[in-house]
Order: sequence, then C-alpha cells, then structure tokens
Amino acid sequence: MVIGEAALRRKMEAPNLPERLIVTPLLSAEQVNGASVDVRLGTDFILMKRSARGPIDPMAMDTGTSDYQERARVEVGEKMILHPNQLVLGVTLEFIQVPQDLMAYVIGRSSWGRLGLMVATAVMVSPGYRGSLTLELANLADTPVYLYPGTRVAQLVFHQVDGSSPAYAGSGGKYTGPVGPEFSKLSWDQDWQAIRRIKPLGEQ
Amino acid sequence: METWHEIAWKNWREEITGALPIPVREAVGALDETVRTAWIARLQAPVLPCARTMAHVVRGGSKPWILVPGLSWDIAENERAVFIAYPEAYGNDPLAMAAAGLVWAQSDPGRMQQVIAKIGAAALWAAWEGQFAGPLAASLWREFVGAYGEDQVDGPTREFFSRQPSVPGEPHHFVWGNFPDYGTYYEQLVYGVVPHDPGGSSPRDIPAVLTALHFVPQDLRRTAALLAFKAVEGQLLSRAWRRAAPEAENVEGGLGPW
Repeated sequence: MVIGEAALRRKMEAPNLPERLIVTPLLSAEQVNGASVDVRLGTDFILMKRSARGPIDPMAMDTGTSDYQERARVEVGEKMILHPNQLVLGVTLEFIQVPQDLMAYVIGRSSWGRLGLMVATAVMVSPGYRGSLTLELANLADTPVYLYPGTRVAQLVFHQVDGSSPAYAGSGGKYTGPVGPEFSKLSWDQDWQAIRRIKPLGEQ
Repeated sequence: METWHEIAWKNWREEITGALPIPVREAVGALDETVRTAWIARLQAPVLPCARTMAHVVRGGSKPWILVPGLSWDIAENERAVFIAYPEAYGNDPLAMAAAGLVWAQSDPGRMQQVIAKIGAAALWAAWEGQFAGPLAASLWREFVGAYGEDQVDGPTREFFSRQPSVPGEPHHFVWGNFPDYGTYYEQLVYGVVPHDPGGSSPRDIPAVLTALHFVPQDLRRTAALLAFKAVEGQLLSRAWRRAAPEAENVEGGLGPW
C-alpha cells in the first residue's frame, strides 16, 4: 500500500522518534506532495576517474580508492558538469529516517531522465534506514549536462511493511547514518569468503 | 642582487597566490611580511565545509574572513580581511569551529559580545571544544556563571576555565539570552538523527543544537558532530532559500542573527 500525503505528514509529526518519518531539511512544503516526497541533490560528490593502476576489484576494495575516485563539494548556487558516460556519486540534501513499518522506492524525476540523467540504481530504501541517500548519477546522453545542488532530482514513494525486522540501526547494517555519499561496500559482503574458497568446476 | 634562495621563495609565493581569487591575493599581499609566507603556505589546503560554515555563523565585523586549516588557532588581520587558521583535526566539528569567533574577539569585549549575541551559551562550550582560551576567557566564564549558574556547566569545561588566568583591568559585562532549550536536540543526536523541528524543518535555534552537541557522550561525539553540522547547514540553507524564493511556500520559519 502506497502511503498518501496526509499519512506521510502524520508520520513526519510522530512524537516517538523511532516511529517518525524524518526528511530534513525540508526547504519547501511542496516537497511532500501527493503520495511522495521529493528529495534534492546535495552538495557532496564522489567523482569516479580513470585509474592509473588497475581495475576495481570488488573483492578487495578496502585500500587505494583515491586512485579511482575523489571527493568534491559544490555549494547550492554553484554547478558542476556531468560528462557523457560519466558516473558520479551524489547524495540527497536531506537526511532521512524510514520507520520500521515503512520502506521507500527512489524514483528519478522524468524531467531529468529526458536530459539523459539517471539518478539512482539502488532504488529501495529499507525499513529502519537512517542517513542521507547516495545517488548514482550517470549521464547517458551525448551532451554534457550541468548538475545544480539544491534541485529536486528524485522522489521517495513510501509503502507500508508488515512484520519487518530491523534492517539497519542496531543490527550492523552497512549503510547506517551517512550524511555524505558513500562508495560501494561490496567488498564487505560475506559471500566473498565462500567465493574465494570455491574452485572452478573442473579444477577440483 | 637577489640570491637564488630569495628568487625561489618569491617564485613559490607567486605560484601559490597566483591561483587565488584576486581579493584574497590582495589581502594576503597586505599582510605583514613577517607572517605572510606562513599564511600563504596555509592557503594551499582547502578549508573544510564545516569550518567555513561556522565562520559564517559567528562572523562579525565588516571585513571578510578567510579560514585556513592549520595545526592550531591563529589570526592575522589587516584592513582588507581577517585570516583565521583553525586546527584541522577539529575541522568537522561545528562547536569547535565556532571558536573562530573567540579567536576573532581576542581581547575585545565588544567583539565577544557580538559572538555571544550570535551563539549565546555556546560561546562558552566553543572555547573548551575548540581548545581555545583567549584573553577574555576568565571574563567569559565569570559572566556565564553569573547569568546561568555553575550548575549548567560540565566538569571538563569547568576545569578548562579554572586554568585560565584573569587578565587585570576593568571587568567586562556580557549580555546573554535565555539558556538554550536543547533537550529535544540532545535526544535526537543521541538517538542518531539530524536534529530537526516538527515536520522535518531545520532547527531554528542553532545555539541549542550546539549546546546539545556539547553534552553528547564522548563515544558518540564525533558522529553527533556530523549530524549537528547537517542541522546547522540545513538551517542556513533554509534561510537563504526563504530569502531567495519569498513567493514560494516554505516550511522553515524565523530569522536569526545569521
């Protein structure tokens, strides 16, 4: 069930912190509209760059990320350029807490999509998530496009969840509480331990 | 005739200052020659967003402030600008960075009053958090206790100020506002979310957010600093948004001294 505007506003006023839907700062009341909450592009970015040393190995990314990424800050009122085929990690201006009985989908605004800008691939926000949302920004068009922090780039559509267990706070979730963009934590996955040990079929 | 050493230093200075915006370059050029090279060296490193933002919050006077990272607090001032170096290790902490106001005030009670007018009781916390005790530290302590009582002060802050010597001269009197109502923001910081007002609005009371941060337990302190800064930043942005788009309906309200 999608949560409508009146219920969203009630959730945002919930007196009990764990039950509260938090989206802050809200620069405009219009951001809560219909059955969604618009989120804005934040000011911190991780720029991906061509590596001089080697490819990214998702099994071992714990060191040396400065070889293929750098952080940048672009204030509201400034702009940055996103080139064709360039991937940049951005972040929502808003800090978000999704209460345990809700989850959300991040949906890019079609107005940006028509310029070639893809906003998010990790589209689900789990119950209990708390932090700013990292956005994967990619320019799929052939023309460079400017990004302006403070613009509305995506919307969150919230759904009711029955019987969820804590996915984040207090349970060691990987993405709890960031206020800036975060690089992939794929190398933290437990699956790598098994994958490292498995010999290819035919070599056993 | 110049030695090669002198030429090398001259070229080095020109290379660094050549990349600076013209007003900054002119302000650096107007610094006393004995300190100019040290400030030029500091200008090579980028200022952290939190340090820059908090300087904006506490800034007084008519001259621009130029913040630079360093190993400790330092200040140089000329007719064009105020240069303030902050300890880079504390640069992501909004309360520690509020001490930039105390560095600017130095021994001038009029300036100190301006800082107090902006961040209230947080002026005292900023001294301990930023580890800066200027010539007015003893007066700041005495006046704070006179206004709010010593019960409001935690042990580390009390101990910090007990070590500060009194400077002889006329007593200074400062006007303080009400003690910040920080309980809600404290609860939010300890819980682990960005301080906010009902509905998601940014906190209107920045001194209360800073006071809440001061009382957060040490094991949560560094994470809480990031959350508190996000709240301060959100409030400043909300005010700017409100000024820039007055026709738009806006959920944020209230205008403060910033």
